[in-house]
Amino acid sequence: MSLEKLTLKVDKAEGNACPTCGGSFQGTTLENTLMRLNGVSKAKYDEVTYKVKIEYDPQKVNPSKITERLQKLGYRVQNA
Amino acid sequence: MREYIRGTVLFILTVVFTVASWLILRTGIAYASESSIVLALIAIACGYRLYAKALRLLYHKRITVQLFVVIAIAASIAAGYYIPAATVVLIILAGTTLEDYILYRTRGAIEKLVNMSPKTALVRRDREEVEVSVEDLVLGETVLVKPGERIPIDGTVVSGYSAVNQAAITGESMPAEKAKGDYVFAGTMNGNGALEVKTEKIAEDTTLAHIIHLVEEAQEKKAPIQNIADRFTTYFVPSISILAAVVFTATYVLVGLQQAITRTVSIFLVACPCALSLAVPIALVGAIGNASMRGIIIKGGTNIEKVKDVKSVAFDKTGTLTVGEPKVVNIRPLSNHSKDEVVRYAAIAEKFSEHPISKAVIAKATELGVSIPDPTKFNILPGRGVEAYYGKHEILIGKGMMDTAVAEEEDKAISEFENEGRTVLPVILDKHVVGLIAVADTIRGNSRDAIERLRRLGIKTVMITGDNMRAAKSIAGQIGVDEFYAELLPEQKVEVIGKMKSGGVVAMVGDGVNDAPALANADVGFAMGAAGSDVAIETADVALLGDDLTKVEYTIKLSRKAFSKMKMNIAFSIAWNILGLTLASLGLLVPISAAVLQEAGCISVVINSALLLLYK
Repeated sequence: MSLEKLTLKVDKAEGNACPTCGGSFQGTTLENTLMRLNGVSKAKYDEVTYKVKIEYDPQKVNPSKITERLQKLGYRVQNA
Repeated sequence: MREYIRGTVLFILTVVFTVASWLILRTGIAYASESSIVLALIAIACGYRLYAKALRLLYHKRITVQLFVVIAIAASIAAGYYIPAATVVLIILAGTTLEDYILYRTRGAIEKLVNMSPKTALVRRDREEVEVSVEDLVLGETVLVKPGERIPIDGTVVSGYSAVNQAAITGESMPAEKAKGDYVFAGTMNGNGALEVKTEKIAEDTTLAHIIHLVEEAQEKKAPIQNIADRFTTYFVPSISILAAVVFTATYVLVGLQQAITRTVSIFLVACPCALSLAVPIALVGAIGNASMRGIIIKGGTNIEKVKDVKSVAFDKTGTLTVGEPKVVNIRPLSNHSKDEVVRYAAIAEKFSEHPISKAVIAKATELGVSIPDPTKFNILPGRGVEAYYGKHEILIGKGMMDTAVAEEEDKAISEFENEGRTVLPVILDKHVVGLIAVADTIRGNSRDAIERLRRLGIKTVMITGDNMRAAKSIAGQIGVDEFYAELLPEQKVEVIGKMKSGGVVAMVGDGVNDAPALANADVGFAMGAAGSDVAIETADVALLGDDLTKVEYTIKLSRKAFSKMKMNIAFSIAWNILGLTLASLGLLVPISAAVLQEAGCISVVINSALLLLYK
């Protein structure tokens, strides 16, 4: 089983939360949500660059499904 | 989780080095002050993640409060305040670690739901039972669920009988009986019987997975009140920078450099918009998480703000306030016949009919232990009743079958029942009425309680139904709603909702399928018993997964509480910042107290909001 890597740039649709603590608050939500997706084994959000690094199993999930999930949560998503 | 461990370890190291630094300084041994400085610097270094992040933010041209903190610490070191600087780092690390932990716990409500779903399932393949990962199940396969285990998939019971606790989905701990043909949900807890379930939905398609996704999405949907907080946050950094510059210059001129540095450092440390920006999102996560553990999905912050203002609630009758299935509520034998006899003849005639009323009669006969032989011949006359033969006897059921002149006694009994809103079935055996069976939809166990609770909150209750006036009046009277409207077409229900809106925010409670237009037109639509219908869960503003109507009142109370916490927290944060900044500007706050004040403010807000999770 080989894992694939994906990096997405996300931006909250309606402005960002707190510059200090809000960042980590948002980060944990995002990571937790992605980690609960079937097939996603790693999700790491960088609150400075707004990039999220994802490791997933292509047999179980694909980038469009991951992107869709993030969009449903209200993030704007771009490929990074 | 690893984040917290790392955070905690760094915090502990900071404490150890700071204390050591301070103790060594007091011993007065050789090189005490030099050693003390080194230890303090090590303690300060433990906050490296703070500095790294601030520098990276600066590199990406984002000026944030974190930069202030780093400047403050650097300034303290430059001014020779090593131990105070270390103490500030210690306080900040303590605050962040604690905050992260509380946030993690607040998010835990979802984690609980996630853990409800088993990762593996016992499945029958090639006549053998094998344990496989839930993700590898194939639709249509038969999964075996042992007593006391959680059901891994959504599907239909093919054999077995058990009482299943569906609290994971509906929030109601009364077990539901499940037998062949019944639908079960992933995540629910099997009782004492073994079940064989045909797999219909797995992994992310299960009802539980949908619920989790919806809760995640709801927690991200901002409450409108957040905009107030955001507006403050936007102006925060520029305002603080200007204030710091003014205070520094003024103090430098009037008092001196040292005092100017101290005051500026204090301003930088005490200023934090975090309480402000965290107040609302955490309250939101807490309230929605709280609701989700009780089988209530509130779709985002906007709905919390609407629900808190609800002035009147409209309920659909059939299937919402009532069970929606007719039941035999009275049997009146006439002449010298017995109750059992009346039910038996009726049941024989109705045995092969699929009509809900027939089913009610059969159910009653079964309940009374009356045996039901097959009719020799039977015929349904739509709109009139049933005609059947049993041996030599002719059995007729229904008011439409009574063409002979009705005796006074029968007539009186019929109108008595009808005035109570019942449907009356005369049972006619060989041209003689042997008895009357009264059938009615029954009220849900908690309807009356639900209405009473709303009344105590000062909320008006209205029942709207397409049913006839008499049945509506009877139900309305028993439940105790303030008003009712009967014989309404779906579009007329919408009109009633429209009229109610003149009296303030209107909530509508229905099953989400038949009353979709009315639900959509109300300010807040509550879909009840939504667990079985993905459409109802998706479209409702608030989905009650079970059918406990008292949850309507709970949702309103929870929303009121959540909103008042949001307001309280925002007001508190603003006041706290103003207080801190004033004290710091006047030189009444040393840097350490400034850091303590800031963290205390932030943590109080976080805790206050997180407590919503425990609200009952």
